[in-house]
Amino acid sequence: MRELACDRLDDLLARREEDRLTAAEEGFLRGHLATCEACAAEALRRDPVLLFARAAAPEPLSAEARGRFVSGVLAATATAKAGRRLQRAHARPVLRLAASLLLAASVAGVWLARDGGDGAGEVPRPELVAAADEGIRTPPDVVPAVEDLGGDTAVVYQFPSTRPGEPTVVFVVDRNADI
Amino acid sequence: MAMQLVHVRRAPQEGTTIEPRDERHLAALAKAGDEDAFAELVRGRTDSVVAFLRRMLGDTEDARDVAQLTFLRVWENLPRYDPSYAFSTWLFRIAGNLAIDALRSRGTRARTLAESFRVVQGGLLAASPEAPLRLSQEEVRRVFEACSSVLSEKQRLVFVLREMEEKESREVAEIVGCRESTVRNHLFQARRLLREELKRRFPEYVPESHRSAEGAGA
Repeated sequence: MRELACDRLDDLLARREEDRLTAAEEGFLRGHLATCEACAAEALRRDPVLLFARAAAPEPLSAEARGRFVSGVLAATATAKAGRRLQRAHARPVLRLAASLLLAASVAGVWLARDGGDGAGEVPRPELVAAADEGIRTPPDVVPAVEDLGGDTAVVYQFPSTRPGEPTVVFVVDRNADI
Repeated sequence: MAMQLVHVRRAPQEGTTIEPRDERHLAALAKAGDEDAFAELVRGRTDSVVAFLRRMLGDTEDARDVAQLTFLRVWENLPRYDPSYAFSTWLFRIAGNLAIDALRSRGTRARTLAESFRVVQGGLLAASPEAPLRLSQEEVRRVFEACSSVLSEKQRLVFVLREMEEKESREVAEIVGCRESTVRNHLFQARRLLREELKRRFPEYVPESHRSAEGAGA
């Protein structure tokens, strides 16, 4: 027997085409097309694209897969959070100021200790040795080879060996590091 | 006798039972640094986001990868979340943008896959009026994958949200970030292109009367 809903098909499809259905009407139309084969066939005859409304909803994840997924997301956010904390510590002006003050205080302390009187606080100085006096030959290519590793993140300084068999010294310097 | 309209919605999938109001509350807690609240949001929305991305990208693995990225972006941008919007709208907006990026970055590969599907499927089903109705839901999904390669990323986004995710035009407009009239325009264009592509590549699924009517009109 033809249902009352079937009589409204023409009107609903026409307004659907113009995207003028209310949410309730749209739900009603979908529900009806899912249960009434005659109307579904008629609707597809009028608009074959309606076929895609029947596309399967993808399978939901299994409980195990969902658990893995959520753990993955939380691990990623934890990593991002740690990275952000580190960045903030680098960028925090208060820390920079504190470090500068600490450095200034240390220098002042050393200075005061040196001039404190009687030479008691005199700081022993390292002995300076001139390379020429010791006969150490400095090759012209001792100037560090510099390689920039992208942007302002890190720089590589390479000091080539001065004698055969001597190891090459390489420094990787983080420009963002607070000293 | 007045007809009673009954709003039939799909049954919520497992894991998507959080009410929108609760989601806003959870989002507010997460914004304040509550990690449990964020974890609950992720658990509650995983299935719907992965399903949406699966429809957008046509590939389960890609969908999961982009879904993870989506939640990471959500977490990063929580301080900017405006609670006057539904959390799901904001979430789908981020997911939709990332899906568009993913589609753009792989463009050619998707088209190649879609073309190969036509070769495999072609000629298996003889043209018959009931052919479209006999297709399984999974086959319909694959036909969509094959045909939707003609859509632009935005047309595909609007079509998936409107016709497959069953969201209202107003919400689609909020997700896409445009006016409702623009959503309608994208939707009409998407339907027209899909109709043509379906007729060209899968004529066995297009009723003959429709084929001849369109052919006469052309």
